[in-house]
Amino acid sequence: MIAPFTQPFMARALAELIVLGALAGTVGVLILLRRLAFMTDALTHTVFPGVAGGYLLAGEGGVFWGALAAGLLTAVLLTLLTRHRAVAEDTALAVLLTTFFATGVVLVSRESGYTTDLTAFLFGRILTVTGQQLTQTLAVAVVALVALVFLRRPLLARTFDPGGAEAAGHRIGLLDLAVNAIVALVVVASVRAVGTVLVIALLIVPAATARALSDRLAVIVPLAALLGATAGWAGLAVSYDASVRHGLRLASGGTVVLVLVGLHLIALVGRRLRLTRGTA
Amino acid sequence: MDTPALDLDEVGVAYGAVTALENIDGTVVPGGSVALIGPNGAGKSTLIRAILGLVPLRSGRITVLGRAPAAARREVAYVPQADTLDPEFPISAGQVVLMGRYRRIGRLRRPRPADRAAAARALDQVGLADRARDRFGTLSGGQRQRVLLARAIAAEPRLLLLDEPFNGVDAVSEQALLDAIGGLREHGAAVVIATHDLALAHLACEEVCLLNRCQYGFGPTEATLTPDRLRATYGGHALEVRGDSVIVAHS
Amino acid sequence: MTAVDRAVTEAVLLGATGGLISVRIVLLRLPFFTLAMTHATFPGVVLAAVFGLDLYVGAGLFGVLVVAGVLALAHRREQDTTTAIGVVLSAGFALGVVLLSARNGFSKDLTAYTVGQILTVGDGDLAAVAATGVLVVALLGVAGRRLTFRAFDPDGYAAAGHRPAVIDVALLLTVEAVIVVAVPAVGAILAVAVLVTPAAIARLWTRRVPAMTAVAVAAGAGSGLAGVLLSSVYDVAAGGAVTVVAGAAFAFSLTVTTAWRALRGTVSVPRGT
Repeated sequence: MIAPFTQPFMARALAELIVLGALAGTVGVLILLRRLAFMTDALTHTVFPGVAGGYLLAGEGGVFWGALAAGLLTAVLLTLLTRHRAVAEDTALAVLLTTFFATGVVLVSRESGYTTDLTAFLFGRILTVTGQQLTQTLAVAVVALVALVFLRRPLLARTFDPGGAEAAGHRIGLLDLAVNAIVALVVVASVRAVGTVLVIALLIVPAATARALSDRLAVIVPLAALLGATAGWAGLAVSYDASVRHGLRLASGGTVVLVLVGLHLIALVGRRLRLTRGTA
Repeated sequence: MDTPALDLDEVGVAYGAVTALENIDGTVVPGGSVALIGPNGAGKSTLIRAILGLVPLRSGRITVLGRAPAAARREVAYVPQADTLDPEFPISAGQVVLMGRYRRIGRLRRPRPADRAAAARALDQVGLADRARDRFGTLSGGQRQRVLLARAIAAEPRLLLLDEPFNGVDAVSEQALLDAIGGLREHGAAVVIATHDLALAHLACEEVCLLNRCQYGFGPTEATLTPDRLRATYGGHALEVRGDSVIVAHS
Repeated sequence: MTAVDRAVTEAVLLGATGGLISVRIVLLRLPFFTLAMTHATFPGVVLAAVFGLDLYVGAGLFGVLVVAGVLALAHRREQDTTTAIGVVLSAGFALGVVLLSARNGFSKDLTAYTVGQILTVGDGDLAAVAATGVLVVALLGVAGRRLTFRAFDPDGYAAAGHRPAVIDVALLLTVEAVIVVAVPAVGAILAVAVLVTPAAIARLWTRRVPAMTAVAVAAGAGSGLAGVLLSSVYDVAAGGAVTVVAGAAFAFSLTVTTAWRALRGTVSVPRGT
């Protein structure tokens, strides 16, 4: 499973998926603990028009910046919305998300032959990742991880006990904004590789698997990162293998997610076995 | 030692047009203790938040340890109700208590042996030293409340604020909480406890503050916790049982 | 009928049907749930295509599974539910994507199911929408009052001896049916424009159920019609256009009604504070 990666494009794809897998795994723990799955889903919907708009305005290179603008804007808006709970905000959110998503669809469809682009945005296209894109991903990963390390104690306090954290003087609003922004960054970085639809899998499945296997954060976080990175490598290897040896074209992004889900199922089975064998 | 731990001076709080508190007035000396007593929605939690500097005052002043509330936060510790916390959270009791030291540890440094020792001592003071490695959620409600108190103790506060700490707590934990609170007071910390439980207010606190938006009394427990004042505070009939405990029923 | 005629008919019928049921969805506070259901239906649509099943049969069966799964999960702890739903949806999506890509008909099929291709709907699709419309009307006719009761007073509803589970299942199955017939027109993911937005708009203007229903049906049909027409004029995806029109109507309504309320608030004099 090493040979295919000697080719430059495969090596880049592998590097991208490993970095993303590790990053998404780590941030995913935060999403899991803060119950942010819905907000993350919202982000994947709103990043899409950013992706489409960026692509229309500036081609392939514009995708990242369009997504970034849309993602950060959403992070801010969602933070505000959840802090000032209006009546029926669920309804408003569902409508707005779908409308944003549709805006992206409309934008993309203006180009004839838009189906390929749409698919790439929705489901990813890892094999054409360039050196520049890889650099962008690394930059995002560094920013996100540095922020998480710097904020880890306030984040832990706020996540576990918001009342106590506020009493201790932590600024909950700013912390929440930081988290939402970090999640937005990861979504943006992952869009090209796995697409907006599958990003959420990358974010929640490794973390859920790690949580099923351990009760200690010191284990859960690195484990989630490891699972994410491993699935990135395995998914790419499997889809390459299938293509070269069996003539089957398997979408890489989808394969990565299937590997993640497979690992999750194994973990659940393992945990069930361990529990029935009677360790408290 | 002359500076009061807490001074409430004609305090008023409003949320928009709604008055949550008015004319709350009283003082707590270092080592002293006051129970905040009143029905649900009386403003006990609001008052605690105001003491923490989390809500702006419409009128009056709050002085904590001689300073403005926000400035005094490093020496104030807050104990929330344990049942508001997620029982599935992957954190051990020991780690929860260590969080009390975060202010001293800061953002980036690793906890020092002194910090770990303080956390261990605090956990010991609530009688749960042997549960340090257990996940917080596996403890009983009362034990969780004790862990939260230990977290506050680890912060070495001079003012301790507790919000309904005895709710749904078993007898053993209740005693452990009372003992630990007493220990803190002996070291000179002042304690403010919001509670429904009148009997525990008698046991734990020298003074009571009766409030239901406005104040119906602030003074020594024996003298202030009278049926008349309780009736006024709770707006209903007060019954006396054995001259000691008082049960309040709404008319 | 030309393709455009069919598309318009489909859009109006679908919009009206969606409008009808959307009132119940909004009153029962199910919008996010519906969003999740559209996501959950999507893999079913894809799987039906992959296995060569008729869309309605395949997606419909999958839809029933979705409803059953959701009801089963609804009784467990919140954390497990959201995560479990997320994992299952991810698996479904990924499976659908991988299977489709393996078949080489990747891009076109996927797009069709994601965002719909209303200009290619056939008479069969029209019939399906019409039938679902009848189903919705029947449901509301039989159980409309009970649904309202359930929405406004769930405890009273159960205390009165009704079984909430029965009506929940009936509603969910009907919602799923509307999602499935919406797929050819607007795709699975955008079905929210048909199932939630109309009532979201209506609710901003009125709280009374009959009026709300009328506005929702009009909004649904209207945005369907406008969306299809715009899409043929500007050459953009119809499903997207319908959703954007509906969303714009919502944003407009939100702005106007908020401003109106703010104005009324400052003008009226409080009587005896």
